[in-house]
Amino acid sequence: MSGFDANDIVGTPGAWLDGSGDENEIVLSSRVRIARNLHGHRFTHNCDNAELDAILRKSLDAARRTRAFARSRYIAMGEISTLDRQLLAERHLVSRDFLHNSASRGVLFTPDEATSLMINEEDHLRIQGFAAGFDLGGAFRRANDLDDQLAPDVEIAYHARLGYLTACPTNLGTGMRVSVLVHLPGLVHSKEIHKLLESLRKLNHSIRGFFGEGSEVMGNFFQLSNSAALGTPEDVIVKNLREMVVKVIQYERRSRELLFHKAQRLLEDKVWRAYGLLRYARSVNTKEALSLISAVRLGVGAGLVRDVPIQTLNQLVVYIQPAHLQKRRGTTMDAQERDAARAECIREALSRSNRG
Amino acid sequence: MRPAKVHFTEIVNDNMVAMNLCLECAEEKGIDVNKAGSYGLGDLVAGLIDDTVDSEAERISKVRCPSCGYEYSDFKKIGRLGCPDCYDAFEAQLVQVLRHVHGSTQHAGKKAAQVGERAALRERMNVLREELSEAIRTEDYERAAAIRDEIRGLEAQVEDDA
Ligand SMILES: [Zn+2]
Ligand SMILES: [Zn+2]
Repeated sequence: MSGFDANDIVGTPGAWLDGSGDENEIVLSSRVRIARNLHGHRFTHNCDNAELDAILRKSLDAARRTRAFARSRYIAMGEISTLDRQLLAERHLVSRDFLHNSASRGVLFTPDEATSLMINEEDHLRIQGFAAGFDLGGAFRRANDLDDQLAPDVEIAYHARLGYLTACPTNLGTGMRVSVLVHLPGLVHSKEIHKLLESLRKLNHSIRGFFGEGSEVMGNFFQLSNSAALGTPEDVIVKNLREMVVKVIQYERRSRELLFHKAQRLLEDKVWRAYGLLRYARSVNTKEALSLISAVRLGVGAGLVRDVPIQTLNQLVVYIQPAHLQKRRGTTMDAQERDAARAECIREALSRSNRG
Repeated sequence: MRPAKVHFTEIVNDNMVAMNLCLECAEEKGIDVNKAGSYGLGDLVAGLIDDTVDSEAERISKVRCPSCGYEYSDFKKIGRLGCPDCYDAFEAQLVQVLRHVHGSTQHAGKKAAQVGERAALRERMNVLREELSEAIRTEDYERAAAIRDEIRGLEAQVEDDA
């Protein structure tokens, strides 16, 4: 028994997803992921069940000795419902991969959900540190601290020349992926996003749609991250991305100003239509909701919409997702029922902030 | 298991470099997987999987990791290595992949000098505890006392670090 009850966490967005933090008009959250593997074991995808169990046992033993997880329970993926797994995925505590593969896989996270450890993901250990808003330093400190706390208690696969060894060679070296979740409607509407994509790639960074599959981009939310993990020290990887994000923020601000300058009435109309729909719609799917939220966020950033805090909109991005809707209602729902519940969830959040 | 789904070839310093990445990593690298078949971006030349049939390629694909039995061709299929030792086994083949992905072949970050230090101490303590009960069983009390001292020393060390 893991004793996990998703109802304990579903009512709050998690400290790092509460929508606060520096530059939260553009940067919703910051994340640092560190991949580690145990010495003397095959990589997860190449293991039989007995080996997965052995890895799990050693990893848990080490995790339970850390200060970070002194008050945390281990959640075995195989022991919780599909809906609970999905809820954890929507909060980024586990990856989508864990929805399908659950045997000998699990997660630990701190009560504030800002530090977490997945066991037997693509790599044996996937450490994550999160922070609200633009705070890569905070996210890095959390992940790196946990790595330091685990290190004495588990023998990690390490190569003098290649660094930390990972299942996929793209993570080799530091095993580190640093990323921010950014909202870039200005760059998308002004069609500048492709130029950005191109220049980021040249500078060894990558950008991709945050929601949706493949190359589909929903709500103009993007994930910006480093693409090289080998050959650069961790603090420099963090510094490089931070500088990149500062530039992207400036670039996005300028695009927004330009857009409002060139097409004020059109944009105002777009913002207020979106606001009206969110305030009064009775059914809305995820894709439409994200796109409407995107337009209202743009309006808040421009000072048009004054009665909705940006934080409320950032939280909605989490709450409108399927597992959150269902867990908060305490019942499973089909797609149509979810669309209705989603519309209601948004109406409530907006009318609350409207009164307050 | 996520199979390697994205295959593309790139020209690096006049050398053809074949890449096989799992979908997730390809996306993380910012490769638009939907367009991977007809990719025009940068210097990627799409659709050319490294099936340049010659005996050298054949030989390379058969190189085997002594620890896990993985062949280099398995890596090309799946986009992942079989175990940490594969990196040494496929070192020559991986150099170009690493140069392409990271622009480097040399780690420059955190060092794992202290890795597993306490784990090793505990392992040593377990061995000693077994030796201790063996010494007691054979009534070799002098040896038992020595082992007990050693265990206490290690215990103190583990506590200090914690
Ligand atoms: Zn991969
Ligand atoms: Zn191997």
